[in-house]
Amino acid sequence: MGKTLEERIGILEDIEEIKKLKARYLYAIDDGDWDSVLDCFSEDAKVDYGLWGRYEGRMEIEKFFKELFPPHYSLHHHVTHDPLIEIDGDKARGRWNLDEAATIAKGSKAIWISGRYDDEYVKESKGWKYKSISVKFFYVTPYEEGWGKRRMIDLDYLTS
Amino acid sequence: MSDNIEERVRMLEDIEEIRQLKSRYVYSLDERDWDGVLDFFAEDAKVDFGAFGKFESKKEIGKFFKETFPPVATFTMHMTQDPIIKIDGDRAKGKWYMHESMTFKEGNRAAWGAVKYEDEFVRRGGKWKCIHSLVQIIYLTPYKEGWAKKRMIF
Repeated sequence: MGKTLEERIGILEDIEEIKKLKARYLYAIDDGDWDSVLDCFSEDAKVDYGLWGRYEGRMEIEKFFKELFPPHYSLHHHVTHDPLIEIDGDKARGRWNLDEAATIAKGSKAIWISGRYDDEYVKESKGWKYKSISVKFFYVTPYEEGWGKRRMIDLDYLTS
Repeated sequence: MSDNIEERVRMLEDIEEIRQLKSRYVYSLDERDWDGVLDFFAEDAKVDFGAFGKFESKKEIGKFFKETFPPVATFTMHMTQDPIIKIDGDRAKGKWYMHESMTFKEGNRAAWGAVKYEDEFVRRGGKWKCIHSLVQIIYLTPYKEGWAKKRMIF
């Protein structure tokens, strides 16, 4: 193996911390606790949320979460699966599957979402933070139709 | 649980490695990376995929994934949950729930699936591989109908 016992334990602990970071981030989104969401990011973090847009730096990410994102939804429930986490000193990468039930506020329209996260993390003085998040969506589909009939809504669906 | 810290750390590493091995298997499935899928299995692996068939070697498993399965389903999204992994030296057992959304090519029909895996693993040359995989399909239901109306799409 080549690593000391201390290093090996450190890696296992880092993996667990990153799992908790992901969980805190998603619980906070589902609770609408935007300050806790922002606390998950490093200052110069970048995000790519697919059809929801790309944002650079904590200020832009804050604007997205506090102003652009919330008005359209009355419900989110994010669930992740199958984390693949690789630790490299004070940096790490993670991949996750995502499953989500959501309700669009206008018209109370239920949608199912399925996607994949590819993340980068950095270990700062206050713990592990997101350096970047990139989401690829497999489907964002109205409940009544399902992914067989309509795989992806467009942003007009939020306001129609 | 051993008093030996080296053994305890090794066990935690083995559990994490097997968890990630299973996750790489499902990512490969959904990406249609069949070589990546086969990397999950030992050469002498046997599988029982329920209604999808039983296969007695990595060669037969490869034929299923490369030839039989792809024309049937145009889209799959597999997600595993709730692993219970037990290590016993160079052997291990793992149990998972898995749920999936998929689309069957015939009729472009969306379906929901829920499955229980009971897998056995062996460590050879320092790497864990699956030696046996047993799938119990809990439901595989047309999207519109749901598991209460029609549990199995077959």
